[in-house]
Amino acid sequence: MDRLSGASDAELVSRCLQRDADAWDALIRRYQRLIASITARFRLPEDDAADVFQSVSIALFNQLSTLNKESKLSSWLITVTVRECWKLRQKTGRMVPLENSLAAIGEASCNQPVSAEGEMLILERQHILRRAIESLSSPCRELIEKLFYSADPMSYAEISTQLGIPVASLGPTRGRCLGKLKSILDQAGFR
Amino acid sequence: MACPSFENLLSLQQNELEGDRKLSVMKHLSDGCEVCAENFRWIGEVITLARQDESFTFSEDVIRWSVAQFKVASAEHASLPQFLARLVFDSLGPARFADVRSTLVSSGSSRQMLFRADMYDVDVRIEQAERQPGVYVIGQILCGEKRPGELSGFEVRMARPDDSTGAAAALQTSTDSRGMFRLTTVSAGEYDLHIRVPEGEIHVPAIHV
Repeated sequence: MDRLSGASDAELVSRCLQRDADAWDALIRRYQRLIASITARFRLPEDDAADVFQSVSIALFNQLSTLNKESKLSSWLITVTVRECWKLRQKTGRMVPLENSLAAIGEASCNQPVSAEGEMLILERQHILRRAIESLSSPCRELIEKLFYSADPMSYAEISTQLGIPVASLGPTRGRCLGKLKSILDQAGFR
Repeated sequence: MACPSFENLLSLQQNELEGDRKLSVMKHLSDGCEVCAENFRWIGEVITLARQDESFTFSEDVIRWSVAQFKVASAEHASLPQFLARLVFDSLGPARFADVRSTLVSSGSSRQMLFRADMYDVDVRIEQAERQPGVYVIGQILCGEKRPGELSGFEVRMARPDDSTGAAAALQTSTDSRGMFRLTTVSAGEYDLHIRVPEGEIHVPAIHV
């Protein structure tokens, strides 16, 4: 699937419409963490999150032909995923803590045009950031993930051991990696 | 002072700078360097977005299920609306996804699964055949928007994933007046279940028998 990792969303959707299963695989892998991040904010257990993924992927398949223009796939997926989480939450009657803005997206997607733009923007920017980090080469990708994404912040000594980078080089290396990340994000229109 | 490096701006964000170095970077920012101020803000936002990110990757089974669905729905009858069925209940428990479903039906036992596809529910029961090899696949199609009589005569076909014609006559039947169907002496292997409904075709992929 590596050959498709650099393909645009529109290209992947177009290939999917031509029944290219590799393109579908690439497309759902690209967006799985976006979908997962929403299920996590709804505090759904693993099985329920997988059910939501099922529902969203079916909805995506059924809407492919309408998504091959310049429409923003991430926005569409956020709306559909929040709606599916919301439906599941109502069906199970499970009261879970969730942020008001996410609830607003869920209610809006059932009743009226989507609002809560701030929350959607954060989810989209997190998605763009993840994609940019994934496109970094080693060791920048691993270094940034360990520095910023670890649930338990690691010491420089631990990171140094794991990545095989001398402690004294970690500072300059992370600075250079951030510079590369900024270049990629600038090209992606992330301001 | 020349513009501080990304590393120094990051160190300031992380509260890692001390002494004269910290003061000089802060002075540079307060002197109004717009480029550095923007870089400083950018670094802060990246760190915040990353720290708040709760995403994770789904298991490979979940991904493979989706790809299996895609292949089935794309392979045939492309002109018909396709309704991809998803598993909502399995009496064998946690193996929830199509390509990891294994019937594992032993003598005297049965397995019940419920799938949902658009407005339809498809109930599938797999039972060990009596006094002969293979299993029975017994099912019923249900729809809250239709009366029972409207669920009869639907073509039901179980085919190997690579048997797009569904040529095996023994694996083809149709629903009765209650929407029920029965396929007998199904031999071991992986099958896709296809049900033609007035609105299109329902696919249940990769049932292991």
